[in-house]
Order: sequence, then structure tokens, then C-alpha cells
Amino acid sequence: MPTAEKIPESLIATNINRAVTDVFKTMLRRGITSVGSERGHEATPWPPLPARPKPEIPLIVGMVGFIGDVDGFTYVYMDEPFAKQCVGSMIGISPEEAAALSEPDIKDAIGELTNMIVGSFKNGLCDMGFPCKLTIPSILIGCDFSVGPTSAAERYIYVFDCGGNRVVADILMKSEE
Amino acid sequence: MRHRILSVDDSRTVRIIVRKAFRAFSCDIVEAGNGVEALASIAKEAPALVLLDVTMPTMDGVELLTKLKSDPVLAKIPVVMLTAEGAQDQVKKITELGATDYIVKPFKEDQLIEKVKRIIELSPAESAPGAVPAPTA
Repeated sequence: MPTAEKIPESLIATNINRAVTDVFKTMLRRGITSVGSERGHEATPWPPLPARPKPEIPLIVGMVGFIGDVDGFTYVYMDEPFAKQCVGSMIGISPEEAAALSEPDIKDAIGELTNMIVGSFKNGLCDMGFPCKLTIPSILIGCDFSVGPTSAAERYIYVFDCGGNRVVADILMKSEE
Repeated sequence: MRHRILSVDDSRTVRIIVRKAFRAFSCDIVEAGNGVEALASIAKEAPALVLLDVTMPTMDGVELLTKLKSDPVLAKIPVVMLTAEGAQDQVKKITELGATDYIVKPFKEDQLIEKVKRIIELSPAESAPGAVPAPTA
């Protein structure tokens, strides 16, 4: 089975950048730019996520896995107020209406947004010879938590800026056993 | 003629986007959150077209498509896939199962409407913004 080491980092970067940009442009009509990346290496196999400027603001994290010739998870992090703005843009409601959305509605929309990002990312991998399928999305909400590996995994972190708001795509891929 | 379109997706958000996309047209959008709900809806009243996601709990889109296409009556209902599963191999496989068309998420409302209009006739809703009133005698 091909593992993370067999997929060039440049291919992962190209696919996630394209996926995030396409989904924001098409579904939210918002521009988003890549502002940084980091990957695990021998000295620091599990680099931490970049520090948040306002850690007291709750985070919303969408999670979707991919299973097949390559296995992994992608987490998409954004602050809750920005997540609500994104949901508002997605379903065409005003910022005031978006701010009043219920938690189940926010979870559903961010889950779907993550599903589209990870789907587009993994479709690129599939077309490059690494077939895999998506899992159903799930959502984490909270202020202070971290994600850690339960088995050998490679970590790739991609940071984006959307009008001064930060979006982080955190990709964990199963590494050579 | 007022058509009925069945939107099958486990995401309420996608179903809202679909409903809003077609509000300018004279058609009824009915919704289902998975394949089982979709089959129950179709049994009550067959839609003119089904918009179908792939990855869903309970019964996924591939299983529903297979069931529809194995039924001599239901096989005639056009099915447009609307899914994030867009790898070339998968699009080919699902199209071979009988899907009429395939839209990969993310999608634009215009693209969705255009593809549906190629399959069923959609007339503007009477109250739609910019709708031209029917001429009076």
C-alpha cells in the first residue's frame, strides 16, 4: 500500500492549496491565500499548530477522513465568528442572521465545507494514482484542545488567510509501517 | 408543467443551497437525508429528477442509484450526482451505473441549474424576481 512517504510533499501542497482556494471561491465567493506551511521531519515529527492570536475565541474544526490506497485525516480549523460568516456566505444570509445560527446548523455547514475541501484534495490524489474514499464529516468545537496521532503518521500543516481570518488545514497521513 | 425535484443529501446546508438555487423556477423541491428516505419519498410520488449525493449514512448514493436503475419503472427517473467524490475513476463507475449527469462539489448554482435544464424543462416562477408576466388577452 502506498504511504505518505510515497507521495511528494509538493503534490500534497498543490492539492490542498487548490482545494481550499476552489471551495472558498465557489461556495463562499471569498478569496483566500496560502500564508505558510510546515511538515513533520526527523527532529520534529509532530510539529504543533501555529499559535492563535486570540486563544479565548472558540475554534470550530471540521474533520473528514480518506481511506484507500492512502489513509489519513484532514482537519480544517477556523475561529467560530469567522466560521459563522462562512456559513452565512454559503447559504446566502446576512451576517446578522449568520451570527444567530444554531449550533447544529453551523456544524452541518462547516462539516459540508470540510467535506468539499477534503473531497477536492483526495480527488487529486486519486487521479494521481492513490485511490481513496471519503468518510462522513464530524466537528469539534472548543477553545483549548490538540490533536495527536494514535499510530505512525505524517503531519502536514497549511495556513491560509481569508480577509484577516486564519484557516488551517492539518493533514495527517499514515506513514510507512 | 411544475416538476418535482428530489434533493438527496445528508447535509441540510446543501439541501438549502439547492432549494435556493431553484426558487426562481416553477418547480417543487422535496428533500431526503439518505437513500432510505429517498426511496420512501419516491414511493409516494416519483420525482421528475433526483439530485443525489454519494457519501451518506444508512444508504449511500451508489446503493440508491443501483436500486433505482434495477427497477424497470424507477430506472426512467434521471439522476444527477451532486457529490464531493469526483475522482475520474469514480465518476466513470457511477456514470456507468446509470447516472444521467455528474456535478462535483464545490459547485456553482448556475452550473447546477444548467445541468438540470438540459434534462427537464424549467419555467420561471411567477413570483420570481425579473419574471416576465404572462401576456393577458
